[in-house]
Amino acid sequence: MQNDPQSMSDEEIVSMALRDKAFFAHIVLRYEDKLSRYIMRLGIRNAEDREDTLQDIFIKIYKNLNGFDTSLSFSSWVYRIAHNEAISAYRKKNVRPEGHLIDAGDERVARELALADGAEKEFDVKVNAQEVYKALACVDAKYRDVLILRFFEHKEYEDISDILKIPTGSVGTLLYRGKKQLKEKIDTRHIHV
Amino acid sequence: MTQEKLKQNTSQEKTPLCDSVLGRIESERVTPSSRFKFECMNYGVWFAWALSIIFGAISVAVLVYIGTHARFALHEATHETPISFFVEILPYVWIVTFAAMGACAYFNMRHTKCGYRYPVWQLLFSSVIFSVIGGVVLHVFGAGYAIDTQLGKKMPAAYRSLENAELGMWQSPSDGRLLGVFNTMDEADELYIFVDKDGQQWSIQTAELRTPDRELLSSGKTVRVLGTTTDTQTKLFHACGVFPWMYDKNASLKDMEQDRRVFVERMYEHMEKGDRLRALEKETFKAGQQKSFSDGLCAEIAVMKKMKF
Repeated sequence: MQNDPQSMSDEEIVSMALRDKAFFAHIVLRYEDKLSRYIMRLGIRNAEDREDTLQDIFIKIYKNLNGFDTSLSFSSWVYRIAHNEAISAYRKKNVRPEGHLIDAGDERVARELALADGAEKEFDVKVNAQEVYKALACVDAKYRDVLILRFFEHKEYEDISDILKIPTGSVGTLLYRGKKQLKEKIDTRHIHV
Repeated sequence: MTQEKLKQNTSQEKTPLCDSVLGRIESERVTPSSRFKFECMNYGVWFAWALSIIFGAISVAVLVYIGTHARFALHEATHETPISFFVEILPYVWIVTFAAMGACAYFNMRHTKCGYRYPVWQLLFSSVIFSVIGGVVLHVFGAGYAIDTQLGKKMPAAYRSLENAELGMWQSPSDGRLLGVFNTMDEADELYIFVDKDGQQWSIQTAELRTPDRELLSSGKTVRVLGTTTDTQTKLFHACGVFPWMYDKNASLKDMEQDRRVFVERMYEHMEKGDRLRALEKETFKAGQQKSFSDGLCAEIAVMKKMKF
């Protein structure tokens, strides 16, 4: 066993957390920022709501530690719980989720997304990332979830399949259709990119 | 020692969220759900899937049994068209059960740990294939026959078995069909005394029957007699063909095939005989004279007209 928790695998920390809850703090530390950004991208913009949702997510993760399926990566499993909790959270609030840019890096990603396959048309004007993100918020939820995981969370197809519980083959289809719909939304919003 | 160091590291790095989560775990006495609970849920889904497959297989076994019998049924004798026979015999309950079990199996498979990874068609196809293979195996061991027959016997009001359906089709003297057993022989008039399923006693004329048909009729087994009622008051029945009752667990495909072949042969024999008699009548009797050949009744029964087309 290594002394440095940074070098330990998630699975090792999980087995230690099952014996002593204090070790669960490492899980929280590892995923706090990632999940906070993820649920914000999913539409939980209010800081307090996000804090509450994050707490609920980690409590749920802790409760279900024994149910962690070792055939998945721990990260995918955590993202799955976060995704479900985020959906429950905005269902409770009965608010339509809207995407939100998080940092400067997201602008670059949004630009890339707008110029990705399915939006092949030549864009000769400067990308307005904020507008692209607004268009992304108008895309059907099933496409938006996949687009966010692929382009903002940089997840592989298999991870997206595990997080959203959809067939791996469908991930590609949803991405393709999502990008196509995003382009249509951009066009209808007359965004100059 | 190592664990202590790790704990120390953790407490140094803790964030407000970390504190609040650990605080909630402490104050709300949150504990991880037991592994047993998750195992039960996982096995529960697989168990439900297996049950769906078993019930699906039972449906298939009965469907195969009914389909096999329907294929060799003497539908020309009982129905106007093959379609009307098909509509009457179609096992709607089992078709619906099979479809419902397929949907259940898909749903359960989808909710197993890795079920979501596979496309809908693969999950549906695998469930259907398992049910079909299971159903064929069950059918081979006679389960289709047993289930259909037993359900028909135990709850006749709610379930109509194939045997009961055929029984209803063949016990219809006014349409020239009788189902029953031979009782005794009226030697004087050369009539076979026959008791049908309703307990009615019939005198059967066998002038147009072939020897194997007469032997089958007098065997004492339950038989189907095709012909025409010549006198309803004295219960006189003119037989044109005698066929075994096929609803026996030992009835093989070969028996059913043979039964159908004999039926078709008999009907064509009567048809040819009828044609010959009509030609002979034409030669023998002048127009307007009473015909005196009473031997060609079988050529006039309804089934002959259907088979001519």
